[in-house]
Amino acid sequence: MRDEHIKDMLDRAPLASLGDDELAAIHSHAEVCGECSRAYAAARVSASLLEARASREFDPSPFFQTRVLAALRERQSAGEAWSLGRLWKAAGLLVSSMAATVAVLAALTFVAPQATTQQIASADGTYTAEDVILGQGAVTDGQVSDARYSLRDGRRRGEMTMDRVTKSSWQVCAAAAVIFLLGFAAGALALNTYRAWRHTEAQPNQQDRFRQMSERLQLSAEQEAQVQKIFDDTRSQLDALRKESEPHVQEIRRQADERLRQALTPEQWLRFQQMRDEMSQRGRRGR
Amino acid sequence: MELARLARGGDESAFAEIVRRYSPRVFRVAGRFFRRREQAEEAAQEVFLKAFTQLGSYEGRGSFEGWLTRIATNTCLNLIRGAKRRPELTASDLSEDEGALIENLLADAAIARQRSVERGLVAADLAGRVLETMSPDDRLVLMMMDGEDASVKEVSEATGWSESNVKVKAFRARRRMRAAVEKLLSRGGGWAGKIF
Repeated sequence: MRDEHIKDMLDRAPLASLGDDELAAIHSHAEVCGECSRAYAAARVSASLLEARASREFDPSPFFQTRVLAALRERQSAGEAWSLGRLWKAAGLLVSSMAATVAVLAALTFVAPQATTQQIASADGTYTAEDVILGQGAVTDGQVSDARYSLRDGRRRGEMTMDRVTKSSWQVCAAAAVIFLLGFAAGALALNTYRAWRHTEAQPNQQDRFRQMSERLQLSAEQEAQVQKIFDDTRSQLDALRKESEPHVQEIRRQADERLRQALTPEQWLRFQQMRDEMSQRGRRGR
Repeated sequence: MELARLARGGDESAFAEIVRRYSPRVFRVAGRFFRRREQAEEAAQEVFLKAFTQLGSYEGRGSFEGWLTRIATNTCLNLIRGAKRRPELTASDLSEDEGALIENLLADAAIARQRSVERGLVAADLAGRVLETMSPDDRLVLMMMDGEDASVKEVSEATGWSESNVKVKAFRARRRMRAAVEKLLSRGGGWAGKIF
């Protein structure tokens, strides 16, 4: 049997799935062929390593579910801030006004020059340049000739201008589209910024609250400094305690959830979680 | 599936239940690709976040677990495709424990079957190190077919590859794994006599 044939047999299927006949063939060849002997040894070690690797499994940590939900909320809030839907909602009015502006600009660009051309054509059909100039009274031939040349030249320049307008109509369209998009983006950003600013203003920050309290209690400067320090110390102590106890709190909650989930049917468990979320949202709103 | 429908409608508790129910399955998939627990957990989290955004594409025809497994497999494949592959291992890279393990594996296959917990951990870790030198597709096909006894059809369903493609990939992956292991066996040079 050729070496390559044995190696093909080793690679064609997992070693554990080879039949007795195939294994006997591999053994008999490997005994007399050094290269195939090494290949077979490596295949056996590979199979053992892969088996050991597959038997090692990771269990989800107790906090995995909480972690995924937190990441989901974070990603959703980040995504919402920049979603097109939100931009559209924020800038709906502005977009409408921009669309109206673009419509007016388009009308001015395409309709108005045509009207001018029609006026020129109409004037051209009713009067000749000679009529116009000769009708003015006593003029010389030279002046008539100059006037004719001047009118022809003016008409030619007008036609050239119209040609340019037609040729560059796609550029006007592109410019209008760019103006529209820029306006949309600028408007949406401005509105979002305004809303964020208004929201920030509506929520008094810690300093504001402290100032209000200080005014109502008529604290002296010295007292203010003392109270501020007490507040700062307390806050950092509470933060440290919260960080320290968070894993324990989560574990207790997880155990309670597990017991509840076992006590309730799947539908009741889902309903319970919804009710809990609603209560927690009401609690947050009521704060 | 009711949970998927509720989660698609924005019901966070339904999605939480999906995470709880299918975490073991997703961790098993992630474990095929990642050697360390933190990496597997990171990947599993990414799988669920991706599944949430793709819930709309689940039409309820196949099993939800199968649909999620496919997302998990493809997400993990993409994650390790983005990571650098480790340089190939040589015998000199082996620790003392790993060297002893290979000696034992060569000396008697029965030892491998009766291995202690510690030896199992050493073997699993060494397998992980060898796999990290290989391509993501190689790792997946070897872990599923040779490690977990998955069929060609199961690999095809989990990855979306055709069955003939799975067979070709498996053949090449085994060859590359065998070649990588052969480099480790040269340690001491006396291994050939221990095989038979």
